[in-house]
Amino acid sequence: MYKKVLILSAALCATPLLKAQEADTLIKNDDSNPSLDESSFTFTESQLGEDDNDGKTSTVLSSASNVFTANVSMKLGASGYRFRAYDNKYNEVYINGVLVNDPERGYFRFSQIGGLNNISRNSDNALPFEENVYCMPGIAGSVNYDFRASQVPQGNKLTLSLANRTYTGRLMYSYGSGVNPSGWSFAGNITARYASINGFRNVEGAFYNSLSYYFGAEKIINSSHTLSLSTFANPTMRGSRGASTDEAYFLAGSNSYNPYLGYYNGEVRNSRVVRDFAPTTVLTWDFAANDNLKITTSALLVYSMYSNTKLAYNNSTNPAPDYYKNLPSSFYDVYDANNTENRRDVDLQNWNYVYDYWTSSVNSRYINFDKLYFANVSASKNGGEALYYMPQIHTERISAGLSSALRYNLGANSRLNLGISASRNKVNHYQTVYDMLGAKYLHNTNSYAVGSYDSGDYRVQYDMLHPDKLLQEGDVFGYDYNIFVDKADLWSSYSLDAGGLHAYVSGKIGYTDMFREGKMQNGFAPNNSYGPSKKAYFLDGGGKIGSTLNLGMGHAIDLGFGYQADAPDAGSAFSAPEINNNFVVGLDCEKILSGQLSYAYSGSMVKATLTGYYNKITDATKWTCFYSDDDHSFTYVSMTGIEKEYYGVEFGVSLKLTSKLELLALGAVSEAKYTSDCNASYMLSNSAAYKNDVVLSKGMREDGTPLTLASLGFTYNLKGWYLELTGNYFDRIYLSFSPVSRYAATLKKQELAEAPAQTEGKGGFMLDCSIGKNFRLKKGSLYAGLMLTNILNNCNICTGGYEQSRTDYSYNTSTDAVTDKVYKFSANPKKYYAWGINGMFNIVYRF
Amino acid sequence: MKLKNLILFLAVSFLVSCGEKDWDDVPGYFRNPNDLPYGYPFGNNTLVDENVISIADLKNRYSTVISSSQSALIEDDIKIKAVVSANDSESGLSNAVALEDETGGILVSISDNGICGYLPVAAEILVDLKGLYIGGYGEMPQIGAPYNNTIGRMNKYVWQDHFRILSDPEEGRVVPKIINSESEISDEYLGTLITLKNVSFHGADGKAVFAPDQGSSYVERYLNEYPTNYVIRTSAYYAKYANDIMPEGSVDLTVVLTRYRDTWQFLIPTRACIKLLED
Repeated sequence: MYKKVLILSAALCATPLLKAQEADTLIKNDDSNPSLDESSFTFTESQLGEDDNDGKTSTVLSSASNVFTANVSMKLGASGYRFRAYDNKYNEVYINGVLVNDPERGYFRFSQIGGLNNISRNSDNALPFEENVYCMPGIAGSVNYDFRASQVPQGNKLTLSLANRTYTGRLMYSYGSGVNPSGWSFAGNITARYASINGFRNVEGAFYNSLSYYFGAEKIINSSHTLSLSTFANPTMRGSRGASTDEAYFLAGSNSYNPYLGYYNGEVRNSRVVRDFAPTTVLTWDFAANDNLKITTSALLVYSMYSNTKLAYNNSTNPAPDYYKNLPSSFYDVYDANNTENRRDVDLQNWNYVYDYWTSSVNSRYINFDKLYFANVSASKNGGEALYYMPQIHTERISAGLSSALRYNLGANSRLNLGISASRNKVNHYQTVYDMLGAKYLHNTNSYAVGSYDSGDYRVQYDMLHPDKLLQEGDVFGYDYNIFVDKADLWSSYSLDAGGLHAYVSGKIGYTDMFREGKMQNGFAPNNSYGPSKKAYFLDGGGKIGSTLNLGMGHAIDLGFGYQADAPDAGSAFSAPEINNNFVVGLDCEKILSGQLSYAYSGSMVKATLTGYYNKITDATKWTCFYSDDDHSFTYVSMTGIEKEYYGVEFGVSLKLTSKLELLALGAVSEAKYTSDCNASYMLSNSAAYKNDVVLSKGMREDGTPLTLASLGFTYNLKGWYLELTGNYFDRIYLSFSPVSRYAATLKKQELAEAPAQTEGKGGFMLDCSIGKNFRLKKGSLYAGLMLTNILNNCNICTGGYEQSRTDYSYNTSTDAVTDKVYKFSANPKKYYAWGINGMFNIVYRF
Repeated sequence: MKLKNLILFLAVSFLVSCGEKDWDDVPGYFRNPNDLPYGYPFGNNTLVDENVISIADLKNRYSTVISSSQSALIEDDIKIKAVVSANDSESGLSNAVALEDETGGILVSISDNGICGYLPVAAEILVDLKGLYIGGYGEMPQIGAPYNNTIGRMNKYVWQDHFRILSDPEEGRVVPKIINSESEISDEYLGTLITLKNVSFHGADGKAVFAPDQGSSYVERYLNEYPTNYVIRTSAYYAKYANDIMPEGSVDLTVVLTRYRDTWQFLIPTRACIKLLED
């Protein structure tokens, strides 16, 4: 695989692709303040999407014009803050003017540029109602990174970091040649980051290995033409962290307990290993016809390989240590003192027995790989197939994109931007047997369907083209399909300055098509799984208008409105893509209405912004999958007709108390909730039957981000010393709600009049500080700095998680009888907690 | 130059340290189970085979409790040494394992799945009975835990402390008793594997399946050669062969014999227990 990638990368570097972007409009981040350098331009783990918090990575956002947005991402990244609680797909990320968001899921995985801090420092950020030269910004803003070689600071820079975060050690070296007399620029960066599985960390067993690189070359051909080539990637292998229940955290004695860990012959082993490698090449052509007309054209090629292992079981029991049947509360009802049936003496004895088991030894609360191997070996002695095995879930994507943006100064007071972009994308989803864990074989049959049909029935086959295939390690099984997505956009913006008024209007129109191509003939869809599906077409687009009215004396008011329709993500457009070619019924473009009013003051001592906003999203689609108790089956669930509202108030104040001391205060109170119930259609994996229901989603909120937050910090600068102390408070962090417990049918069975309230995590206060000093040397300079986060070690702040998609009752389909389970899934959501005290010590040597 | 060497050294060190550990296919100590460093990973390796009694003796000691379908705590320090005769590999038995010695058989009822992973058929185990419960579920002798005044499943963690694996499966250890007619069936064979010779499934028409999901957890089927108080009992939800078409014609059928009061119940452990006879 890696050989294939190396060949591809080499080919990419040699391919003369064309691209572009407006280099001289970028915001250059000041490289003169080393403390700012290391704190502001190190992506936090939550921003990189590497803390496994249910995919809810923090928004990477900044702004030169808004005190709140300029600082909030860095100050509150530890809480998983997402800008206005939007999904990250609304945050558009560009490199040299070409869009790099995942075309299938919509969001950009910042881990693809992890470790390239020195390269990604030059960026052009735009808030939802700020114009820019590369796009019409999304509702969560947009950012364009300038990866041109000439933008990398000239000279050498060596950084050594020690930390107890995602990694424990980091070595980073970057070089920028600057522009030499012949017009060439060269730049490079190589970063190694490492954490051992047993290292001193805030997350147990989440080992980390990565070696990111960047190489750039740029040639100024003449005063009109410049070509630049950039290639980069961040090959990473890391162990994941899993959410768990409060009961498991209590039994383990720590909120950093990681249920994905296990012991194998006395050694620690993580069952979920992520491998991520996305070599990317961007070729950019900057063309300046004259001082008023500039065109930037960029071509992009990405080959992304992402995989994750996990534990699976077959005709056995779930090997997860925190599986509910392994927990004391599944033996004794700890919630209802009036439940005499499940609070007998024998139940209490069982509770104590399991409690003692969990707390007696660390081996008891982790995956016991020895047992899994032994079970497989034992089963094979009776001729049985694997009871436990490790699948590897693969997502491989090839994307080719081309974009071109024109900037034309119509006069001293007006500008026109015009851009086009197009991309072709192929995403291959498949699953392989990674580790048989000592078993001799496994069948490529649907374990959910086996038992529902005769053993010779074609419907139990995952692939009728290769029925009853015996699997060995490395074999593809279960599903194998491609998703193809083509996109094209045309956008424009026009801005005008007249007196104290700056106004702009922008608009875009886009085209998207998508289809699925199955590479297996699934027994549940023999005529609708192998080969290509029909193609779905979407026409989308929209517009924005905005204005800034300068009231004088530093006062200004911003006002903006927008409306747009976005094509649905391919990732939620298919009802059961692992099985068939069906699109979701009722699939539609989602509509977004947005508005914002902002007041800003900018004085010599004080800068302040106060913003109110309102957004409404309608016709949104969401896709998920989980095991359904009522149906005794795994289910693929599509929710359509979703309506959501986002509104709130944000403020930020930056106050210079003295020439050396500065105060920064941030705050936001927001709402991000479903305003209606939505339709659910789900397919059962044991029969391929579709069922329809209504999810009582009204009132549910976006999860994994604080809806209320405040921050107060002081920064002190003196003679090269830099000291910062910041207190952050966040609250109203909701957990991802479970659809199944809010199905109308579920509520009816339980005779409930309304849907259960969404689980809310516990917020809290966090104190951070950093200190650093810059030393000038005879040759170059040296910076040493220490950043400490959560120095009060508050480990009880819930940063996200999800409600378990299981019900609290058992249902008899013939009698309609409902029986309460002892274990209460509703009381045991899976949670992530904030890291305890953590820090990073940096030494930066420039020469 | 020194700096370059340092960078090179650190980079090489990092690269050498990278890469996931190469986990063996099977840990070495499983390849030779007679040489285990610390014993089997399941069960209680500290149990010693002292005070061993036969299964028949055990059932006799608690015959009153069993026949009255109640349960009783075993307070004596006694053990049984038995061979696994059937498990849950295809969920013909679920949450249970059948043990037998030369004197008889008994079911152990455990709230666990994947029992076949640690108690394969023909493995020999030692069961420490002290602290466990014995009783009759519809007069079927079982070891487990009290449940609604009778006997039910025990906590899987309790079970793990009460057995020890003595040896791996050995061929020839489990030999089903041959049954040619209903008159040969008696309490003596409860909990053991028996082979019903030359029988045929009532209602087998090339379409009927063992246990269609009709809302009931279990489905009962009959044999043409046996009265209707002799039933084949199959889990509609869990048995892997639940929707297999019942074969037409005669078969030799190997089952675990159980009872629920006056009904004799046949549990088919796996598909392999159904042997088609040639016409």
